[in-house]
Amino acid sequence: MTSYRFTASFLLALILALVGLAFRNLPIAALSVLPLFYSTTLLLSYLALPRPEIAARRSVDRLRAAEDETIDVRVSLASSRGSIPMLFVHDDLPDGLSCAGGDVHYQGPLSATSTHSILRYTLEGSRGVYELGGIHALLWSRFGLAVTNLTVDAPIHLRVLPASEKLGRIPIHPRRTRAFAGPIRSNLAGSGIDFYGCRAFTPGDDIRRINWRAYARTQELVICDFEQERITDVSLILDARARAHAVVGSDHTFEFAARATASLASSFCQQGNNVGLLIYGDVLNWVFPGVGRSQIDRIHDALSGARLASKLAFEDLRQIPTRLFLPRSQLVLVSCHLDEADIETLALLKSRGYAILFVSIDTIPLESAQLTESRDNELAVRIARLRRSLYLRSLERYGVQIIDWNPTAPLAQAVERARQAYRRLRS
Amino acid sequence: MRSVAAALVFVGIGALTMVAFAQRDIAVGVAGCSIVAGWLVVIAARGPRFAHTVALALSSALCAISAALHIPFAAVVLALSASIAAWDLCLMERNTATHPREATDRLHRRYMVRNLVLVAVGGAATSAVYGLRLRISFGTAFALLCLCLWLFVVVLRHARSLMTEAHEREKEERTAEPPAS
Repeated sequence: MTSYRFTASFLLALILALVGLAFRNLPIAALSVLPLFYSTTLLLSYLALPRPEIAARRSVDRLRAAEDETIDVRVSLASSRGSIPMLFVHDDLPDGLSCAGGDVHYQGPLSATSTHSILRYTLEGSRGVYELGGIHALLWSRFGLAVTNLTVDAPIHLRVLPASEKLGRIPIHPRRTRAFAGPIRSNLAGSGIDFYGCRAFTPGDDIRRINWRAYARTQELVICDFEQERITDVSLILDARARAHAVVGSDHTFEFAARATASLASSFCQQGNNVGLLIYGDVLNWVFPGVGRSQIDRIHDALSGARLASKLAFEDLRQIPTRLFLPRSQLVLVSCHLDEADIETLALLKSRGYAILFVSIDTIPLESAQLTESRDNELAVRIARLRRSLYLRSLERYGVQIIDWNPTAPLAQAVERARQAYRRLRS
Repeated sequence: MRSVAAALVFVGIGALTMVAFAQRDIAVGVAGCSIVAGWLVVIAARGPRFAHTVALALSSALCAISAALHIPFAAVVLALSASIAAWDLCLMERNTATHPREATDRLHRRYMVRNLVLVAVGGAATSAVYGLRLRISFGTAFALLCLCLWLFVVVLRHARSLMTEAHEREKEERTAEPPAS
């Protein structure tokens, strides 16, 4: 820009001088002094501008943080070719991240030996994967007009994970369990806590499990069996179809779905289950099943990068790639959307032997809060509620478990309600 | 910065226009009004760089014509000073447009003060040169013209080479070294 300003102003001075001299007009020639003075000062300022070699270092206290956590960032600049009299530094934050504290700007000198952080700020943001790129610097001489723009690279990748909630034990009952002990009832007799049934004593049985009261009554040895509790394979399916979600007020229903999936993944993994994740909607985004803390991190990382997609091939749930799931394992679908085609697909999956838990996010309270009070709106809300409850009852009739979650309340409450309903059903 | 630039345009060229109308130079007055209106539109619409430069060129031409028509020299110098200052402020604002406004406010204030001081000193120098009232012959004028041309070519070539060298050096350094992290 300095070159442009210098050329333009010097050209203006020359033209005025030439016209003044050509017409022998002193006032016009005298006018050339002003742009000439300006351009000369500009040139001298540019020549006096320091040409430093600036290196930037951006350090963060963590590379992954949940939505309700903050990240401390420090930026230090070092000039290896002498000090800079005046520097303006601005760290450009990507959309979705915001400064919760501190300052992302610096204006002042930079000494050659300076190693301390010139920018210190705290970041907070919504779920996503972010790249903090170059640091923009504006460099100018102390007494001059010349300015130089610099971009110093200090790339760093941050992940903001969906906020997860601590959930109680989630009532699932898959047909197939693994061999290791866990919290899931396996429908197999053996050692456990819950009573499973009685049978006649066979040699080799543990005598501590003999039901002496039954023996006193019938004079026959009877053994009490308990239901074994084991771990199982759980496949979480996050519905990322664009048509299944909507923006309601300032919230996006997909964010609720991502948070619910993160909470469920944490809960299932902490119970020792083998948990995988499929983000359904775009290309096949599949987190291979695994166990433990590292699997929670993998699933949360995948969820942080999850985006809505509108692919014709994944318009309905029929295209769910069942080859990814173990036969007769537990499927957990998290979605806001439900229609006849989806119910058919879930019923088909159920008939193939999968146990299905459908976490249905009820967006009607959120949407109705946005509506003005009128008779028509009330009627519309009633129809939507009836339609939704009809669909959920259809699913229940097919044997699909339901967790009906109103996102204005914690998910743990919905899980607790579902557990109580499951207990009532069993008793 | 844009508001200051707009005020400078309005006051500087507006004053020249008023003086022209007072002296019944209707053409200069109308041209001045048109330039003020056009430039204010360009400033308000954050127009491109060349639009500001065209506006500066037009206002400079108006100043030269005004000077030739014996409109008071102080008004002409004021108009030219205001035009150069406004043009420079607009370009500077464009250059810092990528930075957030609240962060560059202090920078802009400092720059405006420097710019206005520089232009004021330039205007005073111009008035002083005009006050010398030199009388030169055609031969001297022609010699001065040739000298100006030669100076222009030499200075421009030197300045451009300096700027290009510095720019190339910066680019090489940036590509040669791995990014700091």
